[in-house]
Amino acid sequence: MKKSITPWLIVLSAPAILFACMLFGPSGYGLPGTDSGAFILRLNRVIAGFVVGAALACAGVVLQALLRNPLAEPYVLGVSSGAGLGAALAILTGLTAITAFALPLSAFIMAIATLALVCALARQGGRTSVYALVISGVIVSAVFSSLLMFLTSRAKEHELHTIIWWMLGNMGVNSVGVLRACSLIILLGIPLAWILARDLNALTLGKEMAHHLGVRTDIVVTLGLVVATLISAAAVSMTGLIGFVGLIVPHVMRKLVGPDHRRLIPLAAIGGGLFLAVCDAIARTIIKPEIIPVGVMTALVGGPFFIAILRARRKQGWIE
Amino acid sequence: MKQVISLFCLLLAGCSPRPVSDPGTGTPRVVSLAPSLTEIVCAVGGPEMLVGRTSACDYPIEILDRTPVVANFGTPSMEMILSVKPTLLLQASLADKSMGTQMESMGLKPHTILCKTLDDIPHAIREVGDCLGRSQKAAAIAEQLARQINEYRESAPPLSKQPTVFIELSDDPLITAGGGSFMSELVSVAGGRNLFDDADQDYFQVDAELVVARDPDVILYCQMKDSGKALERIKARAGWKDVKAVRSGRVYDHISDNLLTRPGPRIIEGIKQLRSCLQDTARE
Amino acid sequence: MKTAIEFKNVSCGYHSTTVLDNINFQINEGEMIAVLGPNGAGKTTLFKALTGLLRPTTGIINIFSNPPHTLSAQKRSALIAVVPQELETPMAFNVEEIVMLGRTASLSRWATPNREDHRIVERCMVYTDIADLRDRPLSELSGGEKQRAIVAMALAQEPKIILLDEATSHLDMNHRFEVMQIAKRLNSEEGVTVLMCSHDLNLAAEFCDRFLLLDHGRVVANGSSSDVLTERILSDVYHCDVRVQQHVGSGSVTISPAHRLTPTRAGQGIRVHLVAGGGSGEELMRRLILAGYEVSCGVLNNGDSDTEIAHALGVKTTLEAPFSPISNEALQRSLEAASSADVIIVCDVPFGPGNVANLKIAEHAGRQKKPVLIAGSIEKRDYTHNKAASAISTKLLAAGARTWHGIPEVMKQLPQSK
Repeated sequence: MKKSITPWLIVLSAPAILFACMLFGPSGYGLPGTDSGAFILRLNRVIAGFVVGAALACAGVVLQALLRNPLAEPYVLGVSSGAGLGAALAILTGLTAITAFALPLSAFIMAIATLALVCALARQGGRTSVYALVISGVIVSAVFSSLLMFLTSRAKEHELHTIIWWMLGNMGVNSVGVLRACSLIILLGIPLAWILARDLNALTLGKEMAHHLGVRTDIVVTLGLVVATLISAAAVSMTGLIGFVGLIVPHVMRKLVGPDHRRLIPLAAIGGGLFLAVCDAIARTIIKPEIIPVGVMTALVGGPFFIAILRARRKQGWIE
Repeated sequence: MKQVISLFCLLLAGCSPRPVSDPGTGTPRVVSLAPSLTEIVCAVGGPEMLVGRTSACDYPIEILDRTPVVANFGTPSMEMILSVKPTLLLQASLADKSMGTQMESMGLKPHTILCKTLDDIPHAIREVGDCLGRSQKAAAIAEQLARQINEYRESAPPLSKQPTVFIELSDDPLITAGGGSFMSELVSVAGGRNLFDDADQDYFQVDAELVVARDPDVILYCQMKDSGKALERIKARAGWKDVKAVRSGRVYDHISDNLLTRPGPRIIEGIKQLRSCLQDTARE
Repeated sequence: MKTAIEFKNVSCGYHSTTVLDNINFQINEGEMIAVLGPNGAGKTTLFKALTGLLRPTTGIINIFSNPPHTLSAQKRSALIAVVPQELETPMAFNVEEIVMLGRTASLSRWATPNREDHRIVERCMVYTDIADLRDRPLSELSGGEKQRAIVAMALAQEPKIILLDEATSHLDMNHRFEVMQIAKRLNSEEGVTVLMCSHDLNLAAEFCDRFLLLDHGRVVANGSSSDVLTERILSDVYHCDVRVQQHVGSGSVTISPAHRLTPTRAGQGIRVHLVAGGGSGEELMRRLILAGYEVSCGVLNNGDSDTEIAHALGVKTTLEAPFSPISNEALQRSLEAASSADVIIVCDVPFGPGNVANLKIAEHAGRQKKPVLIAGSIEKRDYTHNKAASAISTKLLAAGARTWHGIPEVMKQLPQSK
């Protein structure tokens, strides 16, 4: 088993990398004093980065397997546009003034509602094909995006800024309650996805073959979609839209540890978490006192890394 | 003969901005494409001169009913503008160039009035006055405004005694104003120091950790929606309760952000309210 | 001996179309059976119903006494494994991982494969001779290696029944035999019931003991090769002339389409007159024109489906008004047309008082000692009052007319130009 060393390297290096992320902050390098607010804020930020990155990467792995599509990512079934619409609604109706939970909750509910709508549209004669799912996802996303654009055009100036900045992604989480709730959903969701690992392996051969291999395909596909959407919705509602992680990390990890989902899901979660935590550490320190939107960082750091890995292991599987 | 004299006067006035007026009534018909210019037009010429405004223009209140909206958030509608038959089109520096050329091709000459800093405001008022044929009234308003601004500037405490102010424009994500921004200048005239006057950007996203580490004396919370609840909300955030401004309760959210963000005649009211907040802190 | 698979009055289809129409058969444990039939006969639907992908609209399917849809997914996969025509995965699974997928249903959700799973996978890889390829990604293998890996995956399910669903169609001669030999060994050594569907009749004949021939969703024939693989049955089902030869030494059967053995313009210069109607002459007209015969037809009612085809093919046709009995005048014209014909063919058309007159054309030709070919037995489709048509037919047959069944047969009986 020649691949056996890479997973352990990733797992063992995780605490060290996360600790290193704690050392980088706009208020100075090194660990801030534990009694200051800065320590808590930096800790929350590193935790948020790790959890959100894990959720997006894990959702990406699950969706790429279920839809058998290398371009699948957490937002492919409309989670992003649904959550964006929910966020805009919360901002425009003034709900955000009532509680800090309003925006994430509204984004979360709308993301789940979007998945329900996409699945309902894709269902035909009691069966759901993956092509129908992808197409419905694209259609619903397009419609919701234009609704979002319409709402944005009606927004007042300060509301507009909030909507736009929210869309760019933001790793600073104001409310510890939101951080806890979303992390809980994600930390429960990832093991749930992992339980489906053996079925996901079989499903990469197609739904019919998986059926022959003894997988209850309808239940597994539904469950997989729901879990992937749930954790990506939780991630999006906490930190806004962050691209690239959910698309690229699954590919990179597949190259590193192989396609077996029993290994891939936990390691992609750890890898995605580390990747986002590191990207955010760079984004918040590189041009102090400003912060670069973390989505910019994930693409800038992830792109070259991805290409390097692809070139090193060109021969296997997707994107040959 | 009377006509000849007025023609002569017009020729003389040729080198400064010419007053533009409706040949029928003699009153200019003005479309303003910026809230600050709207306020200046109404202060100098009166709301009856204004025939078109943007959706963001909300002061003075009477224009909400009497003046039609010709521009929805930054994008003027050519059709709406032409339908109110303006004789003068005022825009702030922000308007994009292609729109300007399009307006010119339709026979409209947009007049751009720069208004980015505090000292721009008296100039802008005079310029608007010249365009409206109300130069005298405008000069008086401008002069008074410039004098008041100067008074505040001179009476500001020395830099070492100035409280540091964190300007919070949005909480999710956390957005603040940098050194070159209008808000930053406003805070400095009112006698405070912008916590992030070292940043070049006008407005940017900032890490909460850095705000907490820099420990501002005052937090200026510019989100209308939270009037009265800002302190409570900021206190509830993780890591913020030990910030000086929070401990001493110096979180101000009662000043309307229209007073602070709009470079118009009411800016002096904004400075006044800001000064009274900052003096509280300075005394402590 | 246990019954492995049982279909009782099964009808099955998609939405409103019925594909399988009242199917009945039984397969015993340990048999090796081929399901044959032309495209669209219902083979795929039958396999789908068997694996529980499709529920029958009526009737009962039993797999070792359990209807497939009542079986749990895990139990079903332990009974039936499928080897498809082709298997693609976008992921870079290596051979060993692919074979391990066969264990999917028996693996614990919580643990990695245990020693027993590895032992089974190892055994299946050895059985199919792919142990050396274990670390190679599936996508890099050749067609034959890939298919053996998939057979190994199916074996890893340890099933009692294996379905080979066109499993060898993409393979060359040698690799076809390789895969089939593995299946045969499984069948004879391990007692696994093997059900294969294939378009390769020779391969099926080589390896299977029993054959199930489907056509238009019905079982047309069911039995040993001598019951099913006959020229008559196959040519009827596949609509082409078929040669079946038994090798004297080995007893193996070879099936080949025969029409390519006859020269294509065999009918040049030869005139044929058809007595048809109601679509009974359609296909024959096409074949005759293709083979170069000069064809006439009559008497037909205007608007009859045969009339349309005749017009389209440029066949000289004598017409009568729609839905009218044949008049004397039309018959005379038709007799004239037929008088120059070398052969008269009576198609599989029912006879009643309206068209019985058409048989006069055959009678006339018979008197002139011209060959007359009559489809099937006219008695079975005689609707005249006093069985007049049957009487004429008996007379004709006594005078030397011959009968035919199926187009290949009649084509063979026709005279050919040199």
